[in-house]
Amino acid sequence: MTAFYDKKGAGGWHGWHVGQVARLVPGKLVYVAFSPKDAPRAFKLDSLLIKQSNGTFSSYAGEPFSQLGLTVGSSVEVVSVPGHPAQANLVFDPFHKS
Amino acid sequence: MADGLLPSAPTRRKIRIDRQLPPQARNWGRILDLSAAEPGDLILTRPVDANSDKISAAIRKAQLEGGFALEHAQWTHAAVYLGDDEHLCEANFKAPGYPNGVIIRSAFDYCDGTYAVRARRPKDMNAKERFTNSDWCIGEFGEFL
Repeated sequence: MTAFYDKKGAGGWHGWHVGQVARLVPGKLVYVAFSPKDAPRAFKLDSLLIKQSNGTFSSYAGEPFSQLGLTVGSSVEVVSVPGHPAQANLVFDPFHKS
Repeated sequence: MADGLLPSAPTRRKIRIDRQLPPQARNWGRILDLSAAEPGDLILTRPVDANSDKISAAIRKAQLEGGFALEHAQWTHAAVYLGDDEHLCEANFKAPGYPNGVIIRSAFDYCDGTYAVRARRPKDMNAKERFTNSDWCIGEFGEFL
């Protein structure tokens, strides 16, 4: 697993990244921390995908974060679309116990 | 750039937006490119027509009387960029559609062709320290000033 962020250099996310939710702003955005030394990164809620029990994903639909179990400290993954590094999705798996 | 980014500035590029934009930005057809901004950066605004808004005119007058040069006194509103390519946290009142106090709103609310915009970054703070600016502002969200 590699975790690096190169927004300005290469134009987006590459690979697979794991981080922890640092701050939730209901209705607006999620901040995710990827390393203790770097500032958390902001993600719009329309990039948030929720993993379902059957392994599929659904787009975040405005549910309360508490209902999903998404709290500060939750593990999330950033998955970029191959060939479209700017189109990164934030994936939360409520069934994964870290 | 002392006068900031003016609505008359040429368009840098065309982009496709697949989400809802504030009506004024949709009508005007242009939005701010915030890709170079980072969480905690300050976004300063002012009406292009300095006399169009009595409150802004009063702020500018007070800042001039307080000793600021016009270059700095012209900026009548400040917000903190949150880092998601769109949202700002700011203290405001009588903003259409928002309660008075500390609110989070789209930077594109200022994209109606009547505002000049300038971004400022504290030069003595690193990215993590600047993030604490935006984090603190979010903590004030909903507070009434």
